[in-house]
Amino acid sequence: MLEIKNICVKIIDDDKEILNDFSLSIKKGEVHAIMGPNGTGKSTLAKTIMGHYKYQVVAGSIIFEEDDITNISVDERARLGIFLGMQDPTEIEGITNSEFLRTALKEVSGENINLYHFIKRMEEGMNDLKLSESMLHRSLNKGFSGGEKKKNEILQLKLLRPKLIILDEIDSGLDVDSLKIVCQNINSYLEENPDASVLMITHYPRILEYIKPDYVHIMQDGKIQKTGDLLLAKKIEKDGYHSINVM
Amino acid sequence: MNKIILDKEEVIKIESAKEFVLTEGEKKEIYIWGENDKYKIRYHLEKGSSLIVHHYSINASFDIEIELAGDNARVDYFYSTINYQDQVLKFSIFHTGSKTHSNIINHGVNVKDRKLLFDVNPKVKKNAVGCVCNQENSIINLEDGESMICPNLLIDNYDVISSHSAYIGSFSKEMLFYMMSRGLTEKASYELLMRYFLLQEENIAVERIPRFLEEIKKL
Repeated sequence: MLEIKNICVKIIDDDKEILNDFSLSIKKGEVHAIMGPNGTGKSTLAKTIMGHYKYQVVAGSIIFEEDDITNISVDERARLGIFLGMQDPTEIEGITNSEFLRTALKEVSGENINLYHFIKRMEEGMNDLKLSESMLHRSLNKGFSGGEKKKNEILQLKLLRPKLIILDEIDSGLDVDSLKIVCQNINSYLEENPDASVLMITHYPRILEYIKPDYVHIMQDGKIQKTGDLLLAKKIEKDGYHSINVM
Repeated sequence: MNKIILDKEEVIKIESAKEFVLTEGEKKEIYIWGENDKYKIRYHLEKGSSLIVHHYSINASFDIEIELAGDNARVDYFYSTINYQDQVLKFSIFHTGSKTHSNIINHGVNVKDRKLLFDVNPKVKKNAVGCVCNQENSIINLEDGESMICPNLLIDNYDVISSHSAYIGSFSKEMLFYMMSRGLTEKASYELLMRYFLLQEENIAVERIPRFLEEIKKL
C-alpha cells in the first residue's frame, strides 16, 4: 500500500535534513508502530507523507497504491485515502465541526451528502466515541479538551474512511478511559476495513497493548535503526533506548 | 448605491448619518449594511438596555460612536467589511455607566493593495466601576495591502475587565493544511475560512445580507 523509498527530507528554506535515506514498506492490513527518542523525525515522517508545507522531499519517493504521491497536494493525498490523525489538531474558530466534516465528506466523495444520513453517521460516531452532541455545533477543535480533540480526529477518520491511517501520538493527552475508547474505535474500524493499514507514532507501548502492531520500528537520526515486534517496544519501556544501542 | 439598514422588522433607507437610542431595559438586535460611502452612526444605550449589531459593509468607511450611558447597558458589535479601496473604521465606545459591557469584534478583508484602518477607542470613565470592555480585531490581506489596527484602551478606573487583540495577515498555513488533509481543496478551504471569518456568527439571518454573501463568493 505504501512504499517510502530512500527519502531525504529537509525543512523548506533550511539546510537541515530531518529524514535521511528513510525507507519503509507497509502492506495492506498491516499495523506499523514507530518509536524513538524526541527529535528523531517521527512527526516529520507523518507530515511528509501527508504533504506538509514545511517539508521538502529532496530525494527518494513516496508511492501509495502504485501512484507516486511525492509531489502531489495535501488534499489529493487525502482524497486518495490517506488520513493523518494529528498530535495537536489545529483549532479553527468559526467553522463548526459539522460544517467542516460535511464539506470534507462532500469533497472526498465528490457527491452532495444527504443531511439526514450525515447527521445519523455523525451521531453514531459520536456515540461510539462517547462525545457530547454539542461538539457538532462548536468551532472546530476550539476549546476542546485534549481528549476531545483526539476523539474528534477519530470521528473524522470514521466518517472519511481512509485506506492508510497515520496516527501521530494519538495517545498523548488521553486519560486511561479515553485511550481505551479511542483504541476500541480504531480496532473496530480495522475489523470493518481489513485492508486498511496503520502507521502509528508513539512514545508509549501502552497504546500498542490495545492496537497490536505487526511491526515496531525504532527511529534515530532520521532513519529506522531497528525493527521488531511488541517485545521490542516492551524492552524499550523497561530498559530505555540505550539498551538497543540507538542512543 | 445602497444605503440601507435592516432590522428585524423592516428595511430602512438612511442617509449618511443615523442615531439609535435604546431606552431603559430595551433589548434590540439589528442588521446594518453599508456600501460605497462614508457613514456616521451613533448609539445611545440607557440603563439595563442591550444591543446586538451585525454590521456588514463593502467599500465603506464608518465613524461609529456608542455611549453606554446607563448602568448595566451592554453592546455586542460584530463588524465585517470587504474593501477594495482605502477605508477607515473609527470606533468610539464610551463606558459612562457602571457595570457596562462592550464586546466589539471587527473583521476585515483587504482585497487589493489599499489601506484599511481599524481605529478602536473604548473609554472607561473614572466613575464607571465594574465595566467589561473587550475588543478583537482582525484584517486579512489578500494582496499587499497596508492595513493598520489601533486597538486602544483608554481606561480611567481600576475596577475594569478588559482585553484587546489585533491581527493582520493571511489565514494561517496550518489551518489550510489541516483542512486540506481532510480532503478539502485549497479553494474550498479558503471559501469556508472566508465565509466564517466574515459572517462571524453561525446563527445570523444570512438572507438579510445577499449582497455581502455574493461578494464573499468572489473573494
